[in-house]
Amino acid sequence: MNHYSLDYNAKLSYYLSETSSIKLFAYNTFDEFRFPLYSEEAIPIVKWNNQIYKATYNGQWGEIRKYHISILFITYKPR
Amino acid sequence: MGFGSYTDTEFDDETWDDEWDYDKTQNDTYMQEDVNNEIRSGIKTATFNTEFNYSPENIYSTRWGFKYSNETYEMTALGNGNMRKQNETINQYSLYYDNFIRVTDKITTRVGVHFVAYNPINYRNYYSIQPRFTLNFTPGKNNLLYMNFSKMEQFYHYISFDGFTLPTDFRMPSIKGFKPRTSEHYEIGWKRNFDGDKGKLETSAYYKTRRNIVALKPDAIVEDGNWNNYIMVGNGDSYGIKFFLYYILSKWTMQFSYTYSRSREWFDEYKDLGKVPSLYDMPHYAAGALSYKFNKASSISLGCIMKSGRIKVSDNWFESDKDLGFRKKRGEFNYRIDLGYTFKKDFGEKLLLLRCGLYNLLGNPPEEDIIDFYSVHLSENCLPYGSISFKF
Repeated sequence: MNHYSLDYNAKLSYYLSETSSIKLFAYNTFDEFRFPLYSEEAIPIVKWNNQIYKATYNGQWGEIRKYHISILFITYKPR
Repeated sequence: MGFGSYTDTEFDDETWDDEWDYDKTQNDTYMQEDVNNEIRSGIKTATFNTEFNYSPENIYSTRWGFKYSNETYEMTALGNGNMRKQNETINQYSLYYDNFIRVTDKITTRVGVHFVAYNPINYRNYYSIQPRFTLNFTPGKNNLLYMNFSKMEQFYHYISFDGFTLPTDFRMPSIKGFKPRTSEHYEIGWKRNFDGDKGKLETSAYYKTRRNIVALKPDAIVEDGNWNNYIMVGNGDSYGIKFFLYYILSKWTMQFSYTYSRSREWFDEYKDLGKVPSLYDMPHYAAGALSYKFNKASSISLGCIMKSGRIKVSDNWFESDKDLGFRKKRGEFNYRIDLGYTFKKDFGEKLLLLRCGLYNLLGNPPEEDIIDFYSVHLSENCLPYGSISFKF
């Protein structure tokens, strides 16, 4: 069985001030498994596509209270 | 070279973060598609998460958080020549509260609790309370004694059939009579630094209970997606001791770790089997590494890993595990010796790093290691490697 894969990830941070920031994150993978049923070619038997997107806000109240809020989406599309 | 203290996800301390990350891990592989038969499965997840930290002074800090997730499983089942497609939506609400308290200069503690509501739209709801407790005692600056207790509940079942993670594996949320898995973890340990931080010694012992675990029945030959015919439910436990030593002597550095652990399972439906080893039961695991530093920039390392063979399971769809004597056979004892050279030189803020060596100079690594990590085969699976990196 042959396995092909491709993935990328990207991060972007923006600092609103010394104590607060917004961070964006994206992750994407493509996987394909091929099983050589016939000698001349290998047919794909399984394809995967996973995606993750995340947005986070980090903040601080005073010097001792820190917090973060994030929203995360994970989606999959059969190809 | 990857040597050092042995870790295995099954035996690790499970922290809040680990558990929250678990969602990501399980989702990453929940997808299957057969282009010929149009089998499609998948999952969509949307999560809202917030966490607050409050540290008024160094004797006390607290954090609490809330998480909401909405998951939709797209499930396809095969049976009697027909395909049934089903969408299951599950809402999950989690609230946790965690405190760190410095009781005295020598005693610190961490107390927390995690509340979870698991609400599938079409099936029964589950509610759980998961407490955590840690006590640390530091009699002097070089010694630490600790004890941990934690209770966990997980709403997801997974079985890998032949040691490889594939989309066709059994994956099931806690619906259709598959109750959540629960476990309690107890651990005590001791860490010591000696010879002015040249040496480190760590040892620990743990015991873990496990309930509502799932396994493939001994006589199961999976033909369709009707999992109730092939899956049995039971309980289990795990226990073990760990040992780790690290020492620097002049230009030599050595580290050694050894773990003795057992993991057992038993099933009401097959009482005559008794307590059988779990699929990841690995009684002995040892790793050692010895490095010699020629000068400030270059060093050479020799490492060795030894471990018990894994329990053998059927590796094709036409043979049941019963044919192998259910969990009676174990693969041969595995070992691997690696050799590596490292050159590291900094030019102000720039850094040059060269690494090369041979994995499996000598050894018999298990088949899954060879397939996962080896793309070039020399004699007896010996693998050369090399890397150059420059940071500027």
